Amino acid sequence: MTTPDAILARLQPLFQDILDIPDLNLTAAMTAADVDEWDSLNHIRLISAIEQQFKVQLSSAEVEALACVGDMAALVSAKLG
Amino acid sequence: MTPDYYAQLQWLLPAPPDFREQVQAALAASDDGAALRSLAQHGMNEAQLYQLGRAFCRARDGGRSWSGLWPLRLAVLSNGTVEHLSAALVATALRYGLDVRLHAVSYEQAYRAALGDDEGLRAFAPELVLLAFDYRALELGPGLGSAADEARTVAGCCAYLQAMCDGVRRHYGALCLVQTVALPPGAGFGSADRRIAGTPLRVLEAVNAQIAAAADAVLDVAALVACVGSGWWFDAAQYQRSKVPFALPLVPLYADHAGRVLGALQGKSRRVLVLDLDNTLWGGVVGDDGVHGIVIGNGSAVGEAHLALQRKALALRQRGVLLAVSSKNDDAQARRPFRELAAMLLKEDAFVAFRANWSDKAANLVAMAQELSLGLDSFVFFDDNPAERALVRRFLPEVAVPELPSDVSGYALVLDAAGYFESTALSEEDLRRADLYRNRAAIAELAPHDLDGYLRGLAMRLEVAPVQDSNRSRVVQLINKSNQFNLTTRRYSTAEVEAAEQDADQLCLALRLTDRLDDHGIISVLMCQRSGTALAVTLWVMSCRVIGRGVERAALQVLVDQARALGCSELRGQFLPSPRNQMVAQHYAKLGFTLALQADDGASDWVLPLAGWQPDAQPAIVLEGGSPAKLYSGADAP
Repeated sequence: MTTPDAILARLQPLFQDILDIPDLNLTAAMTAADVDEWDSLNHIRLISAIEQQFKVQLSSAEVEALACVGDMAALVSAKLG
Repeated sequence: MTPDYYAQLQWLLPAPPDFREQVQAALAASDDGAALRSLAQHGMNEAQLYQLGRAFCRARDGGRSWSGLWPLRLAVLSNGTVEHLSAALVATALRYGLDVRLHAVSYEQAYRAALGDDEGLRAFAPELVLLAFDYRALELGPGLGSAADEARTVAGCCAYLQAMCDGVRRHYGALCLVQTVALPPGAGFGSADRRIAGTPLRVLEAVNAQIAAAADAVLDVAALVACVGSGWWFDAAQYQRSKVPFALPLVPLYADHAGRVLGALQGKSRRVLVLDLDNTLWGGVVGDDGVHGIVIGNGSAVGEAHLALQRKALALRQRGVLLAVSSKNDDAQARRPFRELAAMLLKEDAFVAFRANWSDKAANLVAMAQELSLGLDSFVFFDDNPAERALVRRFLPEVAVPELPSDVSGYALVLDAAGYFESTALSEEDLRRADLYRNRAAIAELAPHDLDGYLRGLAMRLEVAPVQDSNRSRVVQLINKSNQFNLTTRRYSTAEVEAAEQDADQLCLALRLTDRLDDHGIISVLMCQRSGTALAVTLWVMSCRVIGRGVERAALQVLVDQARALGCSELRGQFLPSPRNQMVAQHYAKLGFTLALQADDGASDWVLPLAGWQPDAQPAIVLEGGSPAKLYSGADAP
């Protein structure tokens, strides 16, 4: 299952772990501005964890273009094809 | 071993699936910190380290403290981003029994902070500062082509790092832990770089050698990077996005290596390696296959793999690690390969304890710990049988129990990867420890007006034990190689020492010194002869490495306690001059003895009446060990 929705569901526990927020409810529209713990350093930790878990490589240009969680799910989904 | 083996710390048991709940349970457990230390023995990934580190800090900020964890104030200074390492280092330090308070300083401010320009750091008052600088902080060029230019480049880099070391000591009174600098991929031109003066490769090798010698302690990141590969270590994308100095998946490995050094500096390194026999030290089961049916030695890949483990164990033994055997076997059967097979590199005399029996292994380990007078947290248990490993983990959580790879070819590498014996505390010949000590002496000199405070801050403990099997070889070594601090220069063979131990009128004591930084091992030996109401000190030697710490006064207290327990009314001492022991000519005078006899040849006899003798009100060294009567092995002890 590599649809954006399926990826979003798998991103939720990953975000919970990396940001250390067990009850985080991840939505596609969510951005870093919505979550206190989601600072620039944790953003890099998130990207690195996504790359490890999904075994994909995200380019710097792709990472900079991400605006919200939905973009992340769509990008990973496209990479997994 | 694959790079993943190292990056995922695969010698550790994987973290449990309900990790988050286990963190809460460990924090809710008793105040000795054992549950936290036990949980931290798992191989945690970066996110798990982050969770444990943060939860621990929250609990501590909320007022919790843990009696079994050793507190340490650590500052980390780095030219890159370092904040993301904080929680990982705190969590990993729990694996080594440490309660680390961490203060991180990044980027340009790090250099200024090291040179004293950081009120926040001063207020934090670090005990130890880790200088975590990488190649990006150094000017590695120009200087290509000429040896003189290379020397200038090296000197420039070293001066930069040395200035920080000196600043850390001077401005914060802290010990300085420096990490070596790894060569990034792409810094070179080709294979000729090693032949061409001034290349980054040659400059960094020279810089690493110099800073390793100058620092109080070293975190060898260059060696770690060589192990996992610089192509993985240096993640250009992550650095460019957020100045993260090395790839995030390697944070657990870096933190573990740092934790080992922090642990070793606090005397927490392991000291004993307990090995299983069947399918561990050799292939097969000696009880079933017979002594000639087991597989060991060259000729088969499996035999070579077990031999490689034996070779590794021998190398550890040379570094001062004690080896022991725990095997489910008949004792006689278990010993036969050692006696009958030439291919066995390890012989029985390599082990300080040999327990081949049918008792459970946890009980055997407990018995060994008592026999060797060592804590269970000094032990590593190496066994191919998962059930035995699980049993030891369950009943003796202090013991380190590595997971073993499925293929025996990797067994010998496990012990290196796990780093249990970092800066081996029992190795008396360990040059790095000598360097460490010299640096500490230099720090003491920086603050000559507060030497007493410095000594008190070391939290020294002097452990008194009778000379016995476990310490006799070191005792004999010390008796025979001490020339300067040696009152009588009497030499004893092992047999003569054993005879003295058995003599009801003689006392043979070994003194071991530990402090919060190090275990110095056995550093002094005392031998006494009782005659009538006097206890005469016939031999008093001490390692020169611990001179100036007040060990002599603490040793005198030991002697007084012994003499009083034996019902003696006076201590007698003797100085016999040799070409090299002038430094102790006035030893007994300094300790308050009265000169009884001065011979023409320089020899002197001294006496100290015990009636009214008072110990120091505030000794800098705490004595540990059994009661005097218990130490006394003589037949008619009181």
